[in-house]
Amino acid sequence: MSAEKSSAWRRVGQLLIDIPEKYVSSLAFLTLFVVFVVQIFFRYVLNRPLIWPYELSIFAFIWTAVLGACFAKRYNAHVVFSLVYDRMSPLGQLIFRLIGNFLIFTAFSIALYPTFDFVKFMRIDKSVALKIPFDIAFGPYLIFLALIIGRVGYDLYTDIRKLAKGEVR
Amino acid sequence: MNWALLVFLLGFISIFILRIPIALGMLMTSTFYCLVAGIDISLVAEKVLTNLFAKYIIMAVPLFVFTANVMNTGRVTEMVFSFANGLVGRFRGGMGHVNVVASIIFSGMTGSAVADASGLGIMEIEGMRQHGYPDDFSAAVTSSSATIGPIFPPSIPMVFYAMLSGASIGNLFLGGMVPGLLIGLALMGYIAIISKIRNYPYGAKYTLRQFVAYTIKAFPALLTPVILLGGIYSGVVTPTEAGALAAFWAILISVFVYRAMGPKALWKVIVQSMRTTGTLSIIVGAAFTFSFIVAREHIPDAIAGFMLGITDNKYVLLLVINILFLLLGMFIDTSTITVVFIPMVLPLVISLGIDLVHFGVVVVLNMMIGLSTPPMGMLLFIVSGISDCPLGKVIKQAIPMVLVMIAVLLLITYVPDIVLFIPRTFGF
Repeated sequence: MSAEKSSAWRRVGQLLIDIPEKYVSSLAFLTLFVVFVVQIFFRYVLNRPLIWPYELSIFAFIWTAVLGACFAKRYNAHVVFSLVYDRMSPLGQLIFRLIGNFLIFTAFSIALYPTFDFVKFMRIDKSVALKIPFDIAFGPYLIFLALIIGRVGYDLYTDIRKLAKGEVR
Repeated sequence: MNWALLVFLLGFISIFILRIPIALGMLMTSTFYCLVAGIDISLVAEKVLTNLFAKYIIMAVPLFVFTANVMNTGRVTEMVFSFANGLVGRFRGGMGHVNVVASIIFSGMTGSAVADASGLGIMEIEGMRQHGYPDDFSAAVTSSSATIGPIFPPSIPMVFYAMLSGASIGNLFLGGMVPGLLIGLALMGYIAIISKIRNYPYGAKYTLRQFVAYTIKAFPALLTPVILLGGIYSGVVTPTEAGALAAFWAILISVFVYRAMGPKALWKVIVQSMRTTGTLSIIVGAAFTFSFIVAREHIPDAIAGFMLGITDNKYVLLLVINILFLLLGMFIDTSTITVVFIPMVLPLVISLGIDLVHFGVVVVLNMMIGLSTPPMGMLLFIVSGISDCPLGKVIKQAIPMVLVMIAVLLLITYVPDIVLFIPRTFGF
């Protein structure tokens, strides 16, 4: 494959990850905020309380939370405790990363199918005002699991390569 | 042998040894626990999602985060700083006092110490540098004053605590007012003494006309805490809605009054806030699964039994809990302590008859002190980075200020009325 083709594929791949992780989650955040403002306006200015903004804001929050967590993983922005890790040699750190990522990879992979079943099951339940099925509300959690499996899988692959090539001592 | 509990404990320890992201580590540990205990693994997702769905109050967190980010991007922070300068800049050690007063005002707009240190902190350190203060002292004052952020309302850690304990968020916010001001006054007292000893300079004196001009310019920014707190306590909005209202107001003044924010900057703030929301919310979600397991294995009962076996004196136990959380705060992130460790001691606190609002304010102040306590206090890293001053030098200057804050912590621990006076006045 030519370098140009490979870079085009890379861009498409990046966009496919960006859509849920960056754009959908940011739009969900914006929705959460706007819906709150609308809710306040209708309740206190027009004296007409609405139910749908309440529902929509909760769904937008769940989408923001789980997809935003994927985006945070991209920048390694998740909270970690690194006091022990920081005191290890580069090789020790690599081994720690391998074990940690392997554990997450295994647990999240094990959880994927039962979670899919749970989300699918939630289709029977619908929200009161907007009639949104709960599988749509909770669906992004599956994307979260899949993207985290992908990210830690990639980290495992790069660390194993480093170990095999003897790049880290 | 309870294998499931063993797997749970090993998973929990591995999070801290292997540097596994805490939220992902809690989900991982819960999955392995369910597998070994023979529980349906989908329970992990169910606990995360249904609890995030049900705990409406947690939505205040993204909104407070958003407000803080808008404030730091627009010129709101700058206006707050100029106003504080006009108010207390003229005294000896004036810039130190300005630092503290600006943080108190800022804390009425946001609920995050990190937002204070990393946004307003840049201006505070630069201001002190221009007036000839050494960088280590400026950085230490900035990290200490930033701790007021989540003590004075609004407060992100208090939202988490309210969600977990069932304590009223409105009362927690009211309860944080006096301790927040006390920390500010104690730090200003310390700055006044040190400034005299080290002969730090007086700040610029402003005429009344200049001060009025600063105040008028800062007025829209200063209205933010009034809208936020006034909205909550007049009953016009809920604490969650107040977060949205404050963010809306911050955007309005940043775009139309201070003309410091365009669509691009706003989008950047949205993406940044979304990322922080993801980081914080997934910890909370994962903690619900963790709490389920902790309760299933009767861990809080074991802790309560162990502690009560040592003593059943409420004051001694409060001291023990304070020391424990101070130590945890030195090493572990605030959100992790709140959602993982606090639920473990809550049954003990309730059985001792300690007021949950009082305990909430004490424990939040405690954790905030941890944020600026060596070796792992996050605020110290932030201010050391902003000031380009070695961490060791900042720590040396920060230690006496941490001691001052611990003195205030002990005061509010043993005189609950300091915390409960305002909530009671409001009919608590």
